[in-house]
Parts: sequence; C-alpha cells; structure tokens
Amino acid sequence: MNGTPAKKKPATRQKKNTPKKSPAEQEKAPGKLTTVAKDKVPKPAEKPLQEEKAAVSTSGKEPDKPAAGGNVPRGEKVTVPRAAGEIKKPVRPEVPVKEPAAGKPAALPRRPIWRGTISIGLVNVPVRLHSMIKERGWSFRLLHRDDGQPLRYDRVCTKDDKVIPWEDTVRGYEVRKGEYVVFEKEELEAILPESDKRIRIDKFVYYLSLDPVYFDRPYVLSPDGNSDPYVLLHEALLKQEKAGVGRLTLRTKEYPVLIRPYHGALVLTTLRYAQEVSDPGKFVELEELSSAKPREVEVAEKIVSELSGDFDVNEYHDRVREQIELLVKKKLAGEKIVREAPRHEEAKELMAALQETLQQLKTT
Amino acid sequence: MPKEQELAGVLLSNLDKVLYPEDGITKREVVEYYIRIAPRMLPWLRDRAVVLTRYPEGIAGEGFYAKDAPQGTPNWVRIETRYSETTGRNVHYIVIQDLKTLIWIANLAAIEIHMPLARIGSPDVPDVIFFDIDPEPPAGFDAGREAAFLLRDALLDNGMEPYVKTSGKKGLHILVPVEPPTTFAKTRAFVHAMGRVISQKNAGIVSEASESQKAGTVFMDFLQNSHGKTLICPYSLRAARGAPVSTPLSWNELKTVAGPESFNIRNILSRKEDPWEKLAQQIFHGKQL
Repeated sequence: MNGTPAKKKPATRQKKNTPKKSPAEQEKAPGKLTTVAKDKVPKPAEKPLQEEKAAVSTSGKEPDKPAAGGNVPRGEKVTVPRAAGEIKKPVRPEVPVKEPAAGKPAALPRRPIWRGTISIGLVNVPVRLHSMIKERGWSFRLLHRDDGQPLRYDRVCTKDDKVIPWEDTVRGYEVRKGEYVVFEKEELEAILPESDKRIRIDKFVYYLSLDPVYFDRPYVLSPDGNSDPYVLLHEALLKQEKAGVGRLTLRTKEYPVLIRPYHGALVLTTLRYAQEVSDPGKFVELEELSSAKPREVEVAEKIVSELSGDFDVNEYHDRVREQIELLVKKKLAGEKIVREAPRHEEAKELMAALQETLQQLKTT
Repeated sequence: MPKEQELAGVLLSNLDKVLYPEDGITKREVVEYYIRIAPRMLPWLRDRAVVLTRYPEGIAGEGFYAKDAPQGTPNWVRIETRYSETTGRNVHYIVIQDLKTLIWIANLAAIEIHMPLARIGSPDVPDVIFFDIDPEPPAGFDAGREAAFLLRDALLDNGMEPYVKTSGKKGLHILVPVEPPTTFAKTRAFVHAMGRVISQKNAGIVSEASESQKAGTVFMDFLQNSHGKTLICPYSLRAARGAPVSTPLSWNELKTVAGPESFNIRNILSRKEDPWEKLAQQIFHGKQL
C-alpha cells in the first residue's frame, strides 16, 4: 500500500479500489461530510457529482455484490460462525451504497439464504428460502472524521488492552457476573445442529391461534425446481386457512417455524421459543391491577369504537429514515447541511411589546 | 420552572424570577420594560461601552458591576475590547447596538445600565458634559432641584442648552451636549468652574471634592467627567424599591415633580413624549471621531 496510512487497513472490500486516490480524498475529506459517501464509491473522488451519483447506484449491481449484503437474517448475526476462516478478518460485506428511496419491485435474490425441502410425512416440497425483510432500517458506519475511512472494531482484552487475534480466543458462557464456563470452538461445533436441509412440519394449525408475540422474522419460500408440490401445499393451506408448524435449522440455530400462504406465496416465519418471551401477567405491577368500574368501561369502549377503523400499515412512515434519506440526497448533491438549532418556545407574553417597539423603531 | 423561551432570537430564561421582591416585579416585566423603552434608550447606547449592574437574585440579593461580557455571550453581541491600565488586562465591554442586545442584557438581570460620556471610537473625547447634582442627607430632592435651576440659568447665560433627568435615586443629572473636539480635562474644568459659580449663589452647594461629604450640602461632582466614568443611562431602571427610572424631565416638569420615585417601571411608559428626544437625536447622530 504505497503511502497509504496504516489507518486505512480496516477498509476491506473498498481498500482495493481506493488506495491510489486516497491522498486526494484525504485532502478533501476534512470538514466535508459528502466525502463519506464518495469514499464508498469505487470511483475517484474528483469525479463530478452527477457521475458519482451514477457510480453510487451501479456499485450495488456489481457481480461481486455479497449475497448476504443487507440480507443476513438477524438470527444469524449473533450466532457463532462455524468456519473460523470466515471470521478471522472482520469482513463486513458492505451494503452497497444505498440508493435512497429506490422503491421498485425487486426480483428475489438469485442466491437464496437456504435451500432444502419441506417434509410433511413422506411428501417433500423443494424450496428456497429468501429474506422477506428488506433491511429498510437505517444505520451508520463509524468513520474517522479526519480521513473519512471506516473504523474497524478490534477485539481488545479488557485486562491488558492488547488486541487479541482470533486464534487466541475462546467462547465463554457467563454463569455469574464475570464468571464464565469456557468452550473451545470444537466443543461448540459438536453440539451445534447440523443443517439437514429439511423443514419438518409437525402439524397444521389455524395460524391465527398463534399469538403474534411469538413471530420473529418472516422469510419468503420459493419453489426449487419442480413447483407442483409448492403450488399444491399453498392451495391446501389457503383452502383450510391453516399453517404448518415445524422446525428449521439455519446455520447454527434451530428455530420453530410457521409456514402459511401470504400474497400468493408461502411465507415462513421463525418463531420465538416460549422461554424467550415473558408473560406480562407475571409482572408484580401488572398482577395487582384493579378492575375498572362498569361506567368507566362504557365510556372507554365508546372512545374505542369511535376511533375504530381498518389498519393500513402504509399510514405509518419511518420519518427518521425519510429525514436521513433527504439529507443523504442533499449531501450527494453537494449541499452543505446546516444543523438547525433546537427551537425554543416563544416568549408569547413579550411578543406584543416586541412588535410595538419594532414598529416604533421602523418609523423613527 | 427554569424553562427557556425565545424572543427575537434571544434566549430568555427564568422569566418568572422576582427581581424586585417588595414590588413583585419579575424579570419578565423588566424585559418587557426594556423592550418598550428601547426607542427612547437606544440612541444613548449606540457606540458606547456600557457597564451593567446585574442582580441575578433580585435587588435584595447580591448585585455586581459587570464590565466584562459574560461567558456565553452570543456572537451577535458587539464587543469592545479595551486594555485596562488598572487591572492590567483586556476588558471586553458590551455595546448595546440594537434592540436584540438590549433584550439579551435585560435577560441577564442587568437592571442598571451605565453609559460612558464618550463613544467607542473616541473614548477620550466626551460628547456630553455631565453635571452630577448629589444631595448629601439631610439635604434631599428639593435641595438638588434648587441647585439644578441655578445651574440651568448659569448654563443658559453661557449660551448652552441644558437637559435634566432624575438619577432615579436622590440626585439629578444635567447634561449639555458638546461638539468634539474636546477633552475630559476641559469638560471637567468647565463643570468645576460652573460649580464654583453656583456655590457662591447658594451656600448649600459645594463644588470641591473635599467638601462632598458635608451633611446637608449638594455636591456638584465634576470628577465624573473622566475617561472610564459612567452615568446611569437615561431611562435605565434603578435597583431600588419601586423600580424607579432615571427619567429625563422638562424643566417645567422638574418644578412640580414630587421626587425621584415619581417615575418608575409601572408609569413611565404612559408618558408618551420624551423631553430629551431632541438631545437623544443630536447625540445619536453626533460625529464620531
């Protein structure tokens, strides 16, 4: 890395693309936040803004786009990766520079998260599993203010502040505060479930009989190869208004799942284990609630019925996200963002005096 | 309820704080007063490095002279930095150039605003001559009034046009505009000389600093005409019971006015005309050296 400062090491994928231009970038970076976005673009920072915008959107379509980029189910992020090689470097597949408000209907990703079969007794339905959550949440990458480069998280020993390489780490299961039972990687691998490429359906239930508190994360199932069994299962469930419950092993974790028809497809939802969800009725504060007076209930019911309507999820917007997208757009267009000072309540009682004085000052 | 409120881009705090406990006057009323009186006051404040007397805990609490702009002074406040020989450091004076600054000042609980006799571009060149008539008890307002009329006649005889105001306390202030160039040495000498003239007409008037503490006399303080000395700004509130105002008067008004407390925060605004309007405009438009 000729002349590239050591600080740049953390950049993984972009590192290869950017080093030649980095001195120029560094000159531009301080004080100008737009360079943050530029740095993610594998194109020279000096490019005119219009071209950069194009670069931003194309970078997401590059063939080396990580399959998992933006599609990693939350459940997987917290699990212990089995292959040590994968995690030696904290490779964080970059979410390609997000095009703000892209909103087009998208094809399912070519590569599914998982492939296997739904087994119902002796019947097998070959399926692919895709994430259903579009990762529309917003997040920021932590950068070094001076050079706009992403920061890496190091594993630092809390005792001697030294950076510890992966091969010198073990897993600890905290049994008491600060006390751990130690596991070697091999020990864990022995007990973690093998993904056996099967979703075993145990029974069919009315899916409304399952309370939404147990719903974790939805995935889309698509037929893999022969689509007849898939269509058949979909039809049967639709007619019976039922859902299949069973279990699925994804990577290293086993989940209870529910499969049901939804918008012309089969949708699989991972479920939470009973012990992961608390029973609100078991909280002391809630156990002791008194009962309401019938008169008051009547009034409350009236209010509820007056405000009753149909739920439309589109009525709710992620306003913070919209703000961020707007700012990103402006920054990409080179607009300088000025932070507005928080607005204070106006001293209304003094307004009249102020207005009169301003009027007088104007006329004199 | 230490809530902050905004007015004309100024952050106001603790508006419900009572600053005059005996009269129940809150900071909100003080701020409102300074907003409403601004058109009459601002001509006097422009281009002058003011000294404030602040009473954050109200006039019953500890007040303090503030020459230096406080920490957190907004960047839109004009500051005049001047080296102080006596303290050996720079003093950052506030200059109240506009209504916004005056509102901000009022929010500092700066009840009294004192102004120098010279402007920031020429701090050694006074643009007014200041006659400070200071009755020493048991001499009171009436004795001061008598001295003021004597002085007025003497000044008129000299072809000058004197203006009088109450100090808001027991004294009276007489101002005469003066065209630059002049010096404090000259104006001081003139005031001293005038003091001697009228002290000969009335035995109760003294013109020498050595006699100033003599009970029952009225002292013509010529020493106030000096670099760095200030006088209470016309229409400034005073930190005294009843919230009296240093009030410009016409000479006819002076004949009948009962005393310095006749004009205060609650009645001054109903007096629509400003007897000093002509002088204020003259001072405001005066040349700066």
